[in-house]
Amino acid sequence: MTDHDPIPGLDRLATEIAPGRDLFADIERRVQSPLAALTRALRVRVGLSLATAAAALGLFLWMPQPPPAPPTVAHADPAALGDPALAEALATYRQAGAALQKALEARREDIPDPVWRDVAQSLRDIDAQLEQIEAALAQDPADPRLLSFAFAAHQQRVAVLGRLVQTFSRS
Amino acid sequence: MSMALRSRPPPPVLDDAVRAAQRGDVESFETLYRAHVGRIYAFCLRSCGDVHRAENLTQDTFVRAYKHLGAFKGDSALSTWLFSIALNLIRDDYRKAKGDISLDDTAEPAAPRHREMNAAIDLERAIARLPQKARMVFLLHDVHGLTHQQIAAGLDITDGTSKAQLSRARALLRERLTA
Repeated sequence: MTDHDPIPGLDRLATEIAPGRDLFADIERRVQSPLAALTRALRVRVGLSLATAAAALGLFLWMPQPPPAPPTVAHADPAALGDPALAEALATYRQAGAALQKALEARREDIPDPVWRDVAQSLRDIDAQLEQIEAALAQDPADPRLLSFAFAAHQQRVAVLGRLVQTFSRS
Repeated sequence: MSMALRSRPPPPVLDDAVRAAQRGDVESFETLYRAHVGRIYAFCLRSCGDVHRAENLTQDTFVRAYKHLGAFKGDSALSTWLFSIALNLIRDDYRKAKGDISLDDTAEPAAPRHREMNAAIDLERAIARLPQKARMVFLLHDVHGLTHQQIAAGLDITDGTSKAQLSRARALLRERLTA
């Protein structure tokens, strides 16, 4: 056997392997200035927020109107955020979250107790995060990291509620 | 984790992406990342045998590439340039872990900890058991198509040493695959 004999299996060896997770988000965060990263992220997130809010509000309007539920999160003053687009995007998330929460509460008796307890705990955790973030934002409305955290927490809240409302609307 | 068979050459549109990324356009850099990440990650994963370290090395490769993209003149393929960055990072990683790679290093590394790769593939296992230097030369030359000259430059060795390491790697692989 010589050095030029083919290696068994070499022609079938993958030259490309996709990572198990998307690595680019971290790369982007590391190569961009925080402000530039936020600007780009916001372009995506504001678009997503509007789409999510539209879907959530559409679902809410389609469903029977539930009794009102009190808001659970103390919000920073949107006007203090300075940028009207940011304030509007955050307000849209709040409205979508509140609408979904009302819709979910209207389905309370259809939701098994263990699921409801988990949901309530998840929402309490998210709301506790949001309270801290919003309080910090009230002190420093232009901090890009705080804004980023606020959007992430609102997205998480809307996502949790949205999935549940959809699930229990089908049953 | 998904695998793809041998890659096609990147499309010409990537040249535009390189130029735009050199001007700081992150979306264009993402295009380059998507086009090359599979090969770079495959090389890192097979070199170090650890998913977490391979992910970090891949990310470090692209972060360094972005920061130094202005220095890329197109004398070689972008993939070759990226491999040279990854190679340097892998060497640094080895140095931190075990000291520099020695040409006399005959110790076999531990079997890869990752289970995502198909352990039934005899060749993958045999490659993972190659000595570090021979493994890198084999991967770069026989799997990713770099020349001995390019490998020698990346590893600070001579062309002849690169050829000798490749020959050694092939012999070990044949021996293990036919045993």
